[in-house]
Amino acid sequence: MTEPILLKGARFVLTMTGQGVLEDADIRIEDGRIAGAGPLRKQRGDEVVDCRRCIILPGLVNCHTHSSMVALRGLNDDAPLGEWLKSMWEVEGELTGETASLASEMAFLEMVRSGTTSCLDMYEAFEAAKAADRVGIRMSNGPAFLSKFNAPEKTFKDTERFISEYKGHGTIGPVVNVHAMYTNSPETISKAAEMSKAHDVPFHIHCSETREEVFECRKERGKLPVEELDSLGALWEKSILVHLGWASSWEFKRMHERGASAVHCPSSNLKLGTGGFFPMKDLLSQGLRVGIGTDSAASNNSLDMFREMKEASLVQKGQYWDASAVRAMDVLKAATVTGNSILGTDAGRIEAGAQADLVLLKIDPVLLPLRKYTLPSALVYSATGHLVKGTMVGGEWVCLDGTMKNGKDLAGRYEHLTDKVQGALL
Amino acid sequence: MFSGGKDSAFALHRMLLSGFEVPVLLTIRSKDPSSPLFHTPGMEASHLFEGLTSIRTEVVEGPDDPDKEQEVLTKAFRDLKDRYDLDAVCAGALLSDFQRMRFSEAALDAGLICYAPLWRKDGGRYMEELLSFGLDYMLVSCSSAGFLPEHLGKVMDRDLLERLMDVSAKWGSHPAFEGGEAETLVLDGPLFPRALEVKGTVMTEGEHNARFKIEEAVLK
Repeated sequence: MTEPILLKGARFVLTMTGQGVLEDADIRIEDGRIAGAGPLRKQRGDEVVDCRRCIILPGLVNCHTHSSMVALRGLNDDAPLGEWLKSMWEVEGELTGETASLASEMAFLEMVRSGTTSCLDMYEAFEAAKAADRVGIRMSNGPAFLSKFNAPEKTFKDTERFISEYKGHGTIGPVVNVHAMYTNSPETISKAAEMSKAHDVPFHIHCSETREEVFECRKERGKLPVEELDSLGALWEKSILVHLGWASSWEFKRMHERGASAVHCPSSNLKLGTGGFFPMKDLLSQGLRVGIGTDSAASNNSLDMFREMKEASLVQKGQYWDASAVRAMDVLKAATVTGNSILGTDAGRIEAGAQADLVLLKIDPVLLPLRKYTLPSALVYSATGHLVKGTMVGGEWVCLDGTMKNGKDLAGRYEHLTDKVQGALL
Repeated sequence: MFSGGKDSAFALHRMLLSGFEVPVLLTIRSKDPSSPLFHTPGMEASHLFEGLTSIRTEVVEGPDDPDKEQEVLTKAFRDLKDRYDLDAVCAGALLSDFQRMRFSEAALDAGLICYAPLWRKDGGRYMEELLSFGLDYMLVSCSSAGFLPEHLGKVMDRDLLERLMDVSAKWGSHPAFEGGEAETLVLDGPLFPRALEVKGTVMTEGEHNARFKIEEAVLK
């Protein structure tokens, strides 16, 4: 058990609860959870952190990424999608073992440094889990079903092993990761869905990202991808479908009926020019759970969720010709409350009892003038992850003033990792 | 794709104003009056679309079998792609995923990109935009509660738009008629060199069903 922490004197606290924004407030953390928020007195044994000239908000959840692909950042940027994918497959084959683990650690350090406390990852699950443990970030992951690289039988075994190793772990959550419908047989998808239900863990899949994928599915299987997933039993409350720029309105309705969640990766979709459109405004009004993801550092190229929230909001405003289509608070909710709900974490709001997954942000001139009612828009439209002073996961600082949870310098570690990963891939 | 309705006419303007070169318009004359894929009313004036827009217009007859409409569309896309060296097609789909998905699939099969610049625009705001943009159009058919024969055959103006917005609010119909409540014919647009003048008669076909029968259409 660690000492209670008192975050003292924050100028603003964005609670993401009915309490809205608190001013000049304190937060006490005990046993990894929030014990209270508001004007609080220091108690004996409290470790006090001075938060004056700071904002505190719930930690951000990156609902879709491929952490180890940070090693491929910049590779073949601006190439057409097909060519880009081909180059990714070629190098990804080499991104295994320790190199993958170190690359994942780079990604996780970048995430916690920019305010992300939790992520849903795909690829190299065992290596990424070691890296996530080193960094202290929450991570959901699982071996990926991708018949091009692994026989499904092996992936089923590996997934079982991952689930038994990590189910009940404090910060690492197992997931049944299915790369996509076009890279797996219907039998594999169906069995993988059964596995996710049997273990009560999320089923995570790329879906309807490109027009080619959608119409190939319709031609080969007689159904659109979400319809086909449903017929394979893969659409349930813990299904997480990513991208969906080419999904139809009736497929979204089906997802809603089944309680499945959608993840929007606006920067990746725009950068790869996949076309289509993710109708976040309509999905939110229908009550579908929508999270936000950066996708990999190779297709974004940033893992900064502040930037991603802004992108998500702007894309909707532009497409709908409506400045209020998706507001700052909508994307903040998607990146905190809903993101945690999708991943099954009791966090994303600042109130007594919630997990203490928090971000401490410096009040920088780019946010000024700052008032209580402008706080959400300042966070979405003006802030970037560079303003993050500290990130806390389950009551533990995983990054504070440039220092990692083990007391080492974050920038120095990142540089060291970069050298090792680049050296291994050359 | 140009059906002569307000949506394809506005989508065409959007593409032109975004710097696209539009060498050809494709008009499909469906034989199925209730085709979910193609707009059918107002086709009596389709021979004038080329004169109205000053863009080469290819008119293709729809199939006898309504189930083959997508096939005909794909074939037309392939043909036009080869003849006009096209990279993309543009559709005026606003909210119909049936249309957007079928058009996209046909375009994919023909090796073309399919742009839908009006996709998911708010219906009410969109109708306001059409009015302020200066697109002249009229209703040529209606088939939904709240619509009256007197709404047909008149150039859309502020007064008529407000009356139709009231209909939408009262009956829950889509403000831009995406539920098939009404069909339109474009008469003029800011980038069109000429305008269409039509004369005709409103034919009442039921309590809420009416159509404007075009008897004479000329270019001005």
